[in-house]
Amino acid sequence: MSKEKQTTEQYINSVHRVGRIGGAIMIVVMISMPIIAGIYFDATPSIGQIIQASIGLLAIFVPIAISEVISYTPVLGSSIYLTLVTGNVLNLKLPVANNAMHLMDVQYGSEKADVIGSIAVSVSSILTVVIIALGMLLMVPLQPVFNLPAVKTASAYVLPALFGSMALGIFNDNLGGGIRAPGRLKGAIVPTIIVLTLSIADKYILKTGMLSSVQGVLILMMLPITYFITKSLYKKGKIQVILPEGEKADATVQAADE
Amino acid sequence: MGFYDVANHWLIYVMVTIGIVIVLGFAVLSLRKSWKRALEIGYTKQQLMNVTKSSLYFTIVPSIAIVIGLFSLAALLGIPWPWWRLSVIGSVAYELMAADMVFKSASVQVATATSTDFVLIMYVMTIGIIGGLVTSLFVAKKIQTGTLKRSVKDPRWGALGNSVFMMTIMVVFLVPVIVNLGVDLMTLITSAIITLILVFIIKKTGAKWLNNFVLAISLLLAMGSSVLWSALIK
Repeated sequence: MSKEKQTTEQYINSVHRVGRIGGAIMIVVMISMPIIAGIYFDATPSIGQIIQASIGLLAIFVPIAISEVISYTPVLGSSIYLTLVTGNVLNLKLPVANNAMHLMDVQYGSEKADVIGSIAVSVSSILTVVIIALGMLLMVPLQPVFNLPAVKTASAYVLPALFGSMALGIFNDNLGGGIRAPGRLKGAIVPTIIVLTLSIADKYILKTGMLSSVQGVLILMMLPITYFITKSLYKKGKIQVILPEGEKADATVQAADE
Repeated sequence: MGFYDVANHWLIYVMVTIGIVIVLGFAVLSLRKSWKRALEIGYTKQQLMNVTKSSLYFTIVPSIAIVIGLFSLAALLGIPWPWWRLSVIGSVAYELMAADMVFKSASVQVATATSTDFVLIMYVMTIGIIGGLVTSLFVAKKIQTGTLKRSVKDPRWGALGNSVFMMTIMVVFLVPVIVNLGVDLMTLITSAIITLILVFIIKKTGAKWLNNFVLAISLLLAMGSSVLWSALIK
């Protein structure tokens, strides 16, 4: 006898339970490695040494890490746990999930987007782990090829090579699922001006190159600005949202309660 | 024991191998759950295979870039620990920064570093970047529930409001690439042009299978073009 179909609420509860347990296990695994190594080699550093060496990193990365969770989860959904475990968010997981969502024409934040994004992130994570393992095993024969100047140059431009293609899919009227929103880019004008000003100041006036290390925090600052400007323009009718005829655009999904 | 005796010790290999098997298990479980749900809500196996293939093709090139990072990190930290770090949360830039902070705080250099310094690096790299994962355990479900509720309350605003997040992420990362001008900008434009050409070809010929490759082909060719732009501009 086949099992009954899950409701959206049951599915969301179930994937978050798996994600939380998986995430918690990974935290334990990650932390246990230095502890075991320290005990085995009789080389455990003092707590003072650990705090002194990590305090600078924590000051930079804790705000970035928190802001990444807040800004990426609405896009990645329940795959955020696996994404954060396997890393490479910007150069791999976000584009691969976004690409899959566009391919299946689903709207961000819907259950369909969650399911399709999770498949893409899982598949991508598995392949990356396999490729890195192969790279490690084949380090000796591969090193001359990967040390070629052309290969090193090309690998330094992964992000611009990605963003050009991705931007076309993101900066248009299509919201997925046949929903269109003419004029929605108006909501991004103010944040674009702010980021542009900061980027120019950082690159050409202050010349600190600091901006790239605080982009996570910058997203967190720009999100409410884009969100409320978009909402205001939508309420004033300056941005229209056109649903596909006869459909309610994924509105049948039942939000899962905490 | 010295720094590299620990860095390349069998125990580190064993721990890392176990850790990576657990990561793979997590990914496989996640894939199984989402695949099953996708079939339940009406997707066909063919559609899901298309998503899988497209994701696999796209993943290859950025993963090779990570392997190149692995080589540079292995020269400093031995093989197994960079293998672990780059298979999980880490990135080359972050790991190098963390190692540098440890060397500075302990006032040592690689040549004189001890086994304790290596274990200290393991601690610092782990603690420094784990904050996101810890945070996600407490807030991710609430955030996603919020996005789902938005769609239920008002389908129009739900669709529009939920699209704001990806748009903002792109603005924050795209604008500095444009401001960098030079090779960054030319590579970005090349990528966009290649995508437009591919989309045009798909529309004209009806070759929908090509949709699966658009991002992967654009990425690969634009990365290749960066070599040309570097030679011309720099």
